[in-house]
Amino acid sequence: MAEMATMTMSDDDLRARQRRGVRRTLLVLVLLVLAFYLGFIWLAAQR
Amino acid sequence: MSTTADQIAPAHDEHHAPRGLLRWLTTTNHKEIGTLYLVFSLTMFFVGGTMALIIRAELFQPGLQIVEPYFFNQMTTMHALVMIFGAVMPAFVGLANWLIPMMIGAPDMALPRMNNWSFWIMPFAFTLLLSTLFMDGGGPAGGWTLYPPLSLQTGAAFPFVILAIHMMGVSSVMGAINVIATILNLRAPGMTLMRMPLFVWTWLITAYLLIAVMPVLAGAVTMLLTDKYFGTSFFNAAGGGDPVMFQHIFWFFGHPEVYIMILPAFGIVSQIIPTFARKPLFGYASMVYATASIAFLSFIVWGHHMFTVGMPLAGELFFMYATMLIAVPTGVKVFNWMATMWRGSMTFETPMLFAVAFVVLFTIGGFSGLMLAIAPADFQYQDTYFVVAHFHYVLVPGAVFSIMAATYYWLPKWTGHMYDEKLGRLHFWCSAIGVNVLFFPQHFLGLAGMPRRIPDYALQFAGFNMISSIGAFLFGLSQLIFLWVVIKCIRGGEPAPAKPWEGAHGLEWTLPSPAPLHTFQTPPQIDPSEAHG
Ligand code: HEM
Ligand SMILES: [Cu+2]
Repeated sequence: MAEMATMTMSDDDLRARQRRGVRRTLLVLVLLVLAFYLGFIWLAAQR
Repeated sequence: MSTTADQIAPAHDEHHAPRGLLRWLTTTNHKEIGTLYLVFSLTMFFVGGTMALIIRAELFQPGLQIVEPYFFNQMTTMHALVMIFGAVMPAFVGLANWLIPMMIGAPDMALPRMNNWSFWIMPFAFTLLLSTLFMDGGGPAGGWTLYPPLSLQTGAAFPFVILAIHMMGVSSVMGAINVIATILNLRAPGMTLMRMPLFVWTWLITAYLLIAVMPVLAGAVTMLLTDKYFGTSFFNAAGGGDPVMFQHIFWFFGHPEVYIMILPAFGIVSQIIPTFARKPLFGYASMVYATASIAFLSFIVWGHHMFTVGMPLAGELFFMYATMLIAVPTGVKVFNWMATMWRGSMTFETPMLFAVAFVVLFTIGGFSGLMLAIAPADFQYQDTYFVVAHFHYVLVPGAVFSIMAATYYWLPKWTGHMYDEKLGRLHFWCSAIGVNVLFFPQHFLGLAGMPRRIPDYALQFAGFNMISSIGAFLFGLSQLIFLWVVIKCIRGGEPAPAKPWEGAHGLEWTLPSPAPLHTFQTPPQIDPSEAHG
């Protein structure tokens, strides 16, 4: 499992991996938020 | 770009940390931010509580005695907004801040600066919201649901209310992003998803709900704003819009929102019951799946708030059955809690008292919810005190009791002192009796036809209203005991050991009490047998 791979990583590698993960999560979630906000207004404007 | 916990935590120089007010303004530490959220929430709990007591004082007797009807309407609207967005939600975010990093072995939240910002938006949002009470035309008075066209009649306060709601939304969305980023990325090696404590699991799922629905609320109130000031007609029938569409959009947010206020409570209760029953949680995996199913179903039941607007029959039936389906995963949870207690060696310290009361009283609210879900019956119940009784059972002895249970349970870890057990139990019994005297008679009032959100009522409702108001003052005043216990515990008391509850499991109990400012700078070793409390 990917989660188990972290058990044998060096601390620096672990931190770098976490940093990349956080950045990716942030990007995806911000896009989701915008999509829901604008998406619903757009849908409401369709009728 | 983003700053992650690990970038600043190891380099953090404690000697240069500012002191006093500036320290709290600039802190990026999850424990300090957790404390800020909890203190803010407690303050708002008393502000919203005062409004509730104004409402109950007016309703003590039929007739108009104490406040103007228009002010009464502002109180019902503000009470709900303050309690939902100012008391319950920030309390859970505060608990998430304190506990999630400690429970998964992370040094801090993933985005500490954003964390600071999420908190500090809140005091401004609520100062703004509360200040509308003093504006021309008063504060919002059309109910927390803000239905147009009524809400569009709000006076000068309107744009300020909309801005305040946007600010609360931004704050919760940032909080939710932080929770997800932390849980997905900062777990200590070996802390697999299915080893996470249930509080962490329920918060992860809650955070996804927040991401999906807070922007929808923001969209809805943005459209209210443009309808009022910029000539759009989203909800204006005269311009080709549809006021019922607002209700659909609002409840697409609103129903998941009620689960946002209960899923973390489920998590807390799932941590506390095993500790004081001295048995592992029964059905851990089924708890996780039940939480996920509840979250999924919560998106397809919004129509149960709109049975009386004139939906097609197929719509009524769909929303009725979908709503009833939620009883299944909810039942799984209740049975799992009971099975955990079954033949356990139980003791009833204050956190456990609140947790057991949660299971019993939340379930009463679940049953009245099921009654409301029956579409033809809801034609009778809609907009009566029966609905008020329903949601107060799930929210007060539900969500609020879980927050109190959590406070008693983790207070020793936060402060390093034991709280006063005698006072804790006194607080519990006054609250448990008060809450039932307050809300149980409201079922009868609703079934007899008393409408919600009115300052005066027919004489036949007098008796139960008087009982309800007495319960309200008993409940409200007993919260002063809570305040006293918390202050007393912060200022001193018997020193707490690292693990004050012999049956407790989980990483947070491996840390000393009070938990030092920085913990798990190097990830802890995960002992699988200790996993998920
Ligand atoms: C056990 C499952 C539940 C069912 C079947 C259920 C069902 C319902 C229904 C049908 C209504 C609409 C009543 C009406 O306006 O005529 C309602 C209202 C409400 N419910 Fe529930 N509910 C459940 C759980 C919860 C929970 C867990 C919460 C919050 C923690 C909650 C909070 C509310 C609130 C706040 C309202 C009223 C909203 C308003 O009109 O202001 N419910 N519920
Ligand atoms: Cu609902």
